[in-house]
Amino acid sequence: MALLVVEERFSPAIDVNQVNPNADKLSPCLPTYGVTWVASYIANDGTRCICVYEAPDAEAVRRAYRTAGAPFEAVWPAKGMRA
Amino acid sequence: MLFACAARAGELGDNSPALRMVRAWTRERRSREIRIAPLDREATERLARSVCSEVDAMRVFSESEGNPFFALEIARALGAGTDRIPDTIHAERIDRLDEHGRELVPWLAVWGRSFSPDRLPAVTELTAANVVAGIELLERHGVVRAHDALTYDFAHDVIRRAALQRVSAPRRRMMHLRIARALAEIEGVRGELAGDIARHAEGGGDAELCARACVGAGKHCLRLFAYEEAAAAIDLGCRHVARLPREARIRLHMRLLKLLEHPALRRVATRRSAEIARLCGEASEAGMASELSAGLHLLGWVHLAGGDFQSARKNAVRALDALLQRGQKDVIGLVEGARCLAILDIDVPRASAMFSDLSAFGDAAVETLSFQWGLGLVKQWEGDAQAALAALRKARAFARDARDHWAEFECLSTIAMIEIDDHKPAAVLALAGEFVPLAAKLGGGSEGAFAEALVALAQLASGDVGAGARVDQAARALERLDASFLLSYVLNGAAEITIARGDAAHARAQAERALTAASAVDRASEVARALALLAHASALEGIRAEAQRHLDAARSIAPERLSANARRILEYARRFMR
Repeated sequence: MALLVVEERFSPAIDVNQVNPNADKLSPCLPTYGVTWVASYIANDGTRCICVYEAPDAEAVRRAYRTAGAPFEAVWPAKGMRA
Repeated sequence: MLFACAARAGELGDNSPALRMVRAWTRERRSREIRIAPLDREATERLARSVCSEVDAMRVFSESEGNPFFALEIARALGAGTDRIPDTIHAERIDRLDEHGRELVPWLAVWGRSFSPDRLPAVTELTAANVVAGIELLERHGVVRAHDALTYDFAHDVIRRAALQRVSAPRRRMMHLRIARALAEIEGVRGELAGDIARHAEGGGDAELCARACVGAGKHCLRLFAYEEAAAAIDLGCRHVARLPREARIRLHMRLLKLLEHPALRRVATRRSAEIARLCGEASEAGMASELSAGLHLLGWVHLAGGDFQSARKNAVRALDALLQRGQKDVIGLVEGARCLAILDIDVPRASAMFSDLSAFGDAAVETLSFQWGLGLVKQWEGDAQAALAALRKARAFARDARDHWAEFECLSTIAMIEIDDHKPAAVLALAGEFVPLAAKLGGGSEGAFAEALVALAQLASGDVGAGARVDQAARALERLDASFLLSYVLNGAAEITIARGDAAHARAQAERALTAASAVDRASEVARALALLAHASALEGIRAEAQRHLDAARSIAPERLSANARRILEYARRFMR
């Protein structure tokens, strides 16, 4: 399994205290494509979000997003980095 | 004459004569205030041993936190062979409080070390004014102290334990239950309070609330990266569900175990896989299709995480079986499930049978984007190009009407793939005017690179020699995008054209890259295609042993997992070898 990062952008900005509006749409699609959510980070102004997943490859994540009708800016494979 | 007086700062206000005396001495500069810090470990141990030489002095220090009175009382109790907190501590700190303070202390003790005063009125039925007065009193007497801007804490845990000892077991249970239910009503069983609700529900004997709160607590912990705590919440919840009626138990147990899908809990999930399988069996017996489906997905994930693609696929199919039990009302769900089997190349013969069965539901199933799209993929896999193209064109029209650009692109790109496999590059180039602009609309994805690759492949197949570089460029873009299946398809396609022109070395390099990419995502048909092309290239170069090795590897793939196109190329390589 690889580590994948998804960049999301919201316009208008979303409420940072609420659940990501894509979460409900995505949750049934992610397991279908073998994708597992790891973590999400939302910018304080609610305009950008980074979601981290584990998946067989980046395309599996893209397909899960496309199937769910959830927009994204980019999906890229990543690895952990020492601080 | 020298007087030495000791008092807790906040308590001087309760004694007017003493306060007046201290103020007068201060005004006349005749007093000196010495703030006494807690005793250090060594001093506490010395003090403890002064009353009992054999006492566990470390324990006295940790429980008394350096308070000399507590240290002496605890040392005496331990010396007398009891673990009970001495009643003298309760008497010294709590019994002398007024009614407001005494009423509040048992609730705070049952609540735990850290509590939020704004929630106390709802839990205790004390008025907000009484709670404020009580807290102010307890703070002044050094029973509680502010922990942060929102919460208070007992100044010493030993005071809390002393107070808790005075609460009888049945009353304690009732108070836990009341706290759990009040908190659940205020906040719901989610977020940061969920863990507290679970703990109090456990203390109050409400197994159902405890398990529900554990689901919320587990989710909250995962959001905070507190994985051990998440696993502990799941464990606590699983222990309590056993006491629930069957259906409620299965439902809650599955919700708890579903949290194990988080990658950080993979080891826990693997350790509990027998429990997940057992629960799937119970859900199946109880006819609970959603729970069975969820459990099988989870089992699939456990296998997938362990690299066991076969078991993962088997569980995905069984999850679909579970959905089938629900019948007609979920016809769209079944169509979606069948389409997923086809898209993911999981069990295409099964998907084919499902589409055949689903057509009995009439237009509700058939006249949908998912049905036509899935059917098109199945027919492509089966090698029935005409039926595949008809279904995909219909699906494309549904997608266009619904303004679903991605679905429309997928249908068009699959049509292009069928035309390429059918050696009709001109048809692909004619279609490019439609799928290339669509790909451009889908920002951020792999569609642009794949569209370029399809056009370049068609140009290469049409005899445009310069298109080879464009295929390589598009393949590198797909590689960078980590789109393994698409990359393997493009490279296999390129290798097939290259080999037909007799360039075995180049074809071999392309097929080797295709094999790596297809293997990474376990796409059997593309793996077999790459192996067949490698065998063909090796045979062309006269390396028969290597060619045979590739063919043997391709033969080891179960034939029912191979598309008609993969079987055709494999058969061609075999005949070429002969």
